[in-house]
Amino acid sequence: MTGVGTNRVAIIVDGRAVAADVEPRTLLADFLRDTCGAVAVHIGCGEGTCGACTVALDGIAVRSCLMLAVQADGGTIVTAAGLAALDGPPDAQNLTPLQLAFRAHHALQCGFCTPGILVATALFLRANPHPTRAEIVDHLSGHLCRCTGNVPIIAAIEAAAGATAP
Amino acid sequence: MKPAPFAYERPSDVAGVLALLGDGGPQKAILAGGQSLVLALARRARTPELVIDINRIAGLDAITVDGEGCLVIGATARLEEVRVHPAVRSGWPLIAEALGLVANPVVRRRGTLVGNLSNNGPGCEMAAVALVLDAEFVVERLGSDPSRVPSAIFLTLGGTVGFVTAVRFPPPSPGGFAFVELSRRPQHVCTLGAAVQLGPAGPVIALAGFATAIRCTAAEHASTPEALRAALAADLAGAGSADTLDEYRHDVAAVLVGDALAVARSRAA
Repeated sequence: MTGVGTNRVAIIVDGRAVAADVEPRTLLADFLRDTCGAVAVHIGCGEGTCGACTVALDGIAVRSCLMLAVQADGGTIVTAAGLAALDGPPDAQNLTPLQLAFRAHHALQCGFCTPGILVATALFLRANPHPTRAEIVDHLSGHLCRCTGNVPIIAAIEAAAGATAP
Repeated sequence: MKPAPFAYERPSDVAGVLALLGDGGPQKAILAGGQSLVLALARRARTPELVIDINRIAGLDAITVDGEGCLVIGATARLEEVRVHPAVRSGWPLIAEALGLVANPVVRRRGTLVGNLSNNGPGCEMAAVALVLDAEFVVERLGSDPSRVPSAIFLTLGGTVGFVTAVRFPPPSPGGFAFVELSRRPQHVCTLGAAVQLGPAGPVIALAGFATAIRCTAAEHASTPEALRAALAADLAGAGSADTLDEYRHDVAAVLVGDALAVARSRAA
């Protein structure tokens, strides 16, 4: 342990309360994976570009690689593993409507970027239930997918938005 | 990537920040949105001994129009909140237009305008906007009254002048405006960006994309495309950046400024 000590961090991750003493330099992404066991948080670039580590913190999408764990103290975090909290109830196979749309439209291949996209998209559709294609493209600019070329992802989000339309 | 060790404090008011900041210096870092700072920590480009988190100071995220008609944006107001704010969109639309080109929606919802300008990395669009709109920075230091530092000075200081509690934009200019940029891909740091605001005394022009943004006073008086090109060459003489794209930027500058002027004039009509 270094000379700067530790800070207490108490958060709720996908409905589970977690408290631990961490060094201030601990990144939220590492805290979620290593201390909380939230392995749905994928760390891609580690510098805020790829979007794979995106989680919901108190209802707002954040890059967990660009936050310190201590900053999230007292907060409520939802990862892709708890997507139902953002996206609605899952079906018998435990897939939420957004996940079903992604499957139907082949919107993932290797799946590494998918957790961040699902969390960010669930929040995006909450704020904007009927997005235009241009708004979807703008939203996805914060997420890099090397497999799909993004077209199936756009189609899945359009379908999910349609499915939730009144 | 792992930051070097540092201590962390989360004061609940401005006085607490000033007490912790003391005389400042590279050993102290103020954490607002963290979209630049946390990356710099992770890369160990910055290795402060103390990180001061200002995110839980009540009221510091305010976006207001003060009694003098100035737009005042607090230190923890997020880029996206500024971009969609009705007063910003109606009175200072150049800010909203340029913010649409900064990062992506998730990063904009976390990053702050004051932090973006304090960091002022190469290609910082908002630095050009701050110069064009003549913004000033409200800087507080322990034991002295808050001071207001003009953009032209602040942007050369590296953000180590004290605790920047707000950025302040003078009352709106009713003329046309435009921000036009060239970047390698959308929402990437710009290779070059031109900010133009038309006012009673003519256009005000600044370019982002060099080591810091540059106000282009000679170009503001050019009346023909040929004169504009020559004037920009004078404005940019000696302007350097971190990489080898300078010659290319000088060529592109005239095109972008010409385009931005045309858009601004079309909006003024």
